[in-house]
Amino acid sequence: MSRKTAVLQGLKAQIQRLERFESLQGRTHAVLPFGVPEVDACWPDGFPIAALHEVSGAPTAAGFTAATAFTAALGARLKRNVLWCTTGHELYAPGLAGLGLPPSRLLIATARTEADVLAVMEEGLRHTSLACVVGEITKLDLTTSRRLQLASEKSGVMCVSLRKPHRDIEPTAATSRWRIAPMSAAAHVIPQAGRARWQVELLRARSGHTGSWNIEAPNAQGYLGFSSQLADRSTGEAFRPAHRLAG
Amino acid sequence: MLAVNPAAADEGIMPGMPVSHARAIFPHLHVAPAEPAEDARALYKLAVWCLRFSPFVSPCPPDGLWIDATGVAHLFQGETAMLEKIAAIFSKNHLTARIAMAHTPGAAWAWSHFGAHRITVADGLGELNALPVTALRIIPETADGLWRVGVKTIGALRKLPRKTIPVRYGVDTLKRLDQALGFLPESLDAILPPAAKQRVLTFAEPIAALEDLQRTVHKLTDDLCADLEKTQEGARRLDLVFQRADNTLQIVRVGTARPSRDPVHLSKLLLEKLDTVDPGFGIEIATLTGWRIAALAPRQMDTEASAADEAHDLAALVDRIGNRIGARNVWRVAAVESDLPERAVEKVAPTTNISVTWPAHLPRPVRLLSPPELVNVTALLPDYPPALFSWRGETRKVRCADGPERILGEWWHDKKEVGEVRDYFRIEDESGERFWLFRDNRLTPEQTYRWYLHGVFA
Repeated sequence: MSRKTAVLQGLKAQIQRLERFESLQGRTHAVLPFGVPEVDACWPDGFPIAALHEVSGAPTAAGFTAATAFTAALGARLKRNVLWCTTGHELYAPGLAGLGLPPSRLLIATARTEADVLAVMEEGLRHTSLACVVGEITKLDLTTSRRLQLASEKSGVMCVSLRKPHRDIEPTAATSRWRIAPMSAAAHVIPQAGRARWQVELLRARSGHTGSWNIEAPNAQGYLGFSSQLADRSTGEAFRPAHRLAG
Repeated sequence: MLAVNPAAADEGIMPGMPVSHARAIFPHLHVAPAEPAEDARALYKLAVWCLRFSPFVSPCPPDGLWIDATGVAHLFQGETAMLEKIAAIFSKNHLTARIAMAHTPGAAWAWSHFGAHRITVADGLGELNALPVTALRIIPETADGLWRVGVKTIGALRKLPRKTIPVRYGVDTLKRLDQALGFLPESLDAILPPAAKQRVLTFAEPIAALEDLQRTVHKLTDDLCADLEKTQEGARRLDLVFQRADNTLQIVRVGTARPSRDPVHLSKLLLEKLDTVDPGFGIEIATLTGWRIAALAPRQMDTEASAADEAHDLAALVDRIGNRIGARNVWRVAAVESDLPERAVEKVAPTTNISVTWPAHLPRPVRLLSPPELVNVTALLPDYPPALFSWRGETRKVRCADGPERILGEWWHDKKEVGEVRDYFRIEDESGERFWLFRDNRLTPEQTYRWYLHGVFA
């Protein structure tokens, strides 16, 4: 190993320590695979569970539902109870069940204000019977997000802030930030709607690198699909066989 | 005749009539013998049931109930809302009720019996003047006497020289008047919920400091939990009642999803609500009542986390959240056997075991609009999915569509659904956004079909 790489590695390790990633690795090691190697490769050890993640949709009608489905699919793969905090009444459980999140694992809290949503989220993060706490919120400031991040790190319960359509996205302490946009599927021979297709952007990834992928929406088990022929990958990697289903 | 139903009243039959007189008015009258003891028992049962509204309920024979709403109304989003809710639940159970809320029990009685509306929330005591003297809970003979000398309303009675009232119309009349106006206290006997456990702390000096209140909560929960421990039971409802020096009550009520006798958990729930308590000039008596008691076996001390631990933790979580946003706002969704999308889901308690889910082969949207929103549609052929639709001011060109999935109205739920047929289409527009549209297959007067957007797919 040359001296240069040694210095670089030392610096990288220092940054990781600064970003508290070390404590994460040290204790829980819990990661959640997407099943899509390109996405999983964004982190040295995989997508960390015990952290705050932000998911937002494209500012269109179906953008927020795509973000909802992406979040539900995260919860679906975690195999335990998911607490969903919201102020609205539009969430439709049969749709979530179709993404692998059955009603037996879904606990819904309907709060009147967003302040209550945040308080319920923080309370939920203290309980290890949950695998994931989801909060539908419009605004999240730095302090609150840091509290959520710390609570999540402490208990190992994943925290997802599902951002409602909002003009400006302020800086937060989230470990990752995703943006999901529905996009037109490949041309079908027959005029039939197959599996939906998304543009998934990882805008921010602490201790990892960002990326953007054209992926198929989650299947009934909550796993994203990946077909490389259509991919516009930002990370140029080797060619993969066509229509690889993540599993 | 002791009591008559509205139908009989319409025929002109009044309470107080002899049966023979009533039969002469209406020969087919159905008469049942009065059972005062049975009525009293039923009233007590109703009072126990009403403990869901407030921990302080007292029967007022023969046909009334007092409910102390101090510090409780905010749980129902306001006083009027509380009364409306009580009225709604009563009428659902086929009970006719006249309900009033006022500053004193006497005034509430007056308004409920003589108010113009079925539900009254009286603001001040001044309006009481317009009510007849009978509204003061005085015996009919006295009321008759007052009536005869022209004293017909409470206002007129208040104008009489105070000293003369006991002499001329009895001590009771003055007492009732003062009680209604709040000059004299009136103590009611609250019923204790059946099978309740209670602990009382009486203070030599009234307490008001927050630390003292916190200590009181800890002491009471510890004692109550020790009582429950002895009988191997747990409570699902805790009422903490503070009696203030000025004889008014401050009430804190918490509920748990499962029976509990964990002093740490229960005191935490109570302490979170302590900021709603206004100690005023000090609190003299604190009472903690645990009810809705159920058997609770001692828990094994496990070193490893188990399924029981997880259920325990989940119940604690539900309590904490429910305590903050209302127990009804934490819920699970249960599948209901219905094809109509809006009817296929049901809110159930978070501790319910859910094993059934929806059929997996029918695609359903992630978000459902309720009610469905009307959209303008251009379809090439009447039976085809739309080629173009506009929703919320935006026109979208359809790229591909799946369907139809035909869903029929459920006439056994609603007569209006007899001819209802919906054809659902999954539609993807040119930008890849997916919607759930349906065509209502009932022709409008203009001989067209209406289209609705019911949900948004991911």
